[in-house]
Amino acid sequence: MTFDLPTLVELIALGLFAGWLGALVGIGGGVVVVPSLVLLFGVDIRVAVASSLVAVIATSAAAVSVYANSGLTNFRLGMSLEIATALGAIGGSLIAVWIPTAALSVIFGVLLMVTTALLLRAKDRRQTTEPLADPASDGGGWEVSGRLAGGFHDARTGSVVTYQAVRAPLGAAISMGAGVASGMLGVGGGFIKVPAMNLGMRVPIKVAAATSNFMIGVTAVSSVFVYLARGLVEPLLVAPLVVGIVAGALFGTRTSKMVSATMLRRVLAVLLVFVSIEMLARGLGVGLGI
Amino acid sequence: MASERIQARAGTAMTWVIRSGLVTATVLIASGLIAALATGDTSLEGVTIRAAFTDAPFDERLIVMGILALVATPVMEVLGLIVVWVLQKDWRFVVVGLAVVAVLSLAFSVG
Repeated sequence: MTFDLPTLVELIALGLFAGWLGALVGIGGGVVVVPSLVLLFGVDIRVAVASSLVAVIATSAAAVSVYANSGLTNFRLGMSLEIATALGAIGGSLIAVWIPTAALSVIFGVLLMVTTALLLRAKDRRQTTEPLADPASDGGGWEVSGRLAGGFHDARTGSVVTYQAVRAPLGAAISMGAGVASGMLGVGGGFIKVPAMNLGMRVPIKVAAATSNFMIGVTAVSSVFVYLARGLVEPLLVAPLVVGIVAGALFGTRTSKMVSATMLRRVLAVLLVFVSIEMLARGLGVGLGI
Repeated sequence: MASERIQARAGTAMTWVIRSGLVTATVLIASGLIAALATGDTSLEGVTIRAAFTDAPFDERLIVMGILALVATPVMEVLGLIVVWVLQKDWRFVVVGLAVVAVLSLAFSVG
């Protein structure tokens, strides 16, 4: 594969699609970028993971810039969990550069199957894993100094919601697992962290999603160093993806009311089933050519 | 009340820092892409940070600088939060923030 104008256009289109999808159904980034680069562009899976991690940093920064003023992000909670998550990400990236690429493909295939199951379980967009709140109307949030607690004004119900995070060690342990997945597979890991905060630590879903967006960028930074140092970041592969993803995320935010997220989620789930089978087959040395 | 004012200002400052980082990164990366097309660079090869500033073509240097600007953005977020918590005298979370910086430094040295 060489870099030319058609490849540039295709990579930007892939980034646009991943960014747009991420903004609409909460699952984009690595779940779309890594298998697409491997299966459609013939890129080595480690290079694909490294490219995806750089793109994940861009999407996280874009999301945080939108949510920072709303007060929905609980930075104290995010930073507390980030210690374990970033350590997990370093471990995950070191595992990824050490194990055979075939094993990495199999693990990615399994991850895609889990993601598909989570996609099909989600009843509506508000129960998926990425930006869930409307920063234009939700907000007025605050954090309690010295504690993992806070509150915000919920525009949907018109009420003020307060919370106090519980079971921090459990949240940290699960977040470390999310960090390993992120560093090893180039995904954001929000689909693990948001339920961990919401169900495990009793943090409202809107706060959990906004906080996860903040954490994703820091986590990706801690693993991207490992890939950068080993020459696995290909500048001309990463650049069009980043440009496409940032533009796609902005476009997705503006078109979210024009597209049925439920329908999109079902189509994506079907697609992911095929992709996960192909990734598993490739890892096991029996490429199906789907 | 002073703590809330600091929090509100911190939110605005953080939004500004992140947007500046994103814009800088996007401009550098897009410029690198244009330079690659203009110079006919067709190599899709990985580069290390060190190689990017010694051997790599100009277009790839621009892109790597953009990637580094992108990587610096979350790091600036973390440092900014530590400053906010110092101003709020929330020492417990200053320690938490410094621990995150330590882990990021570990990642850099492991890399």
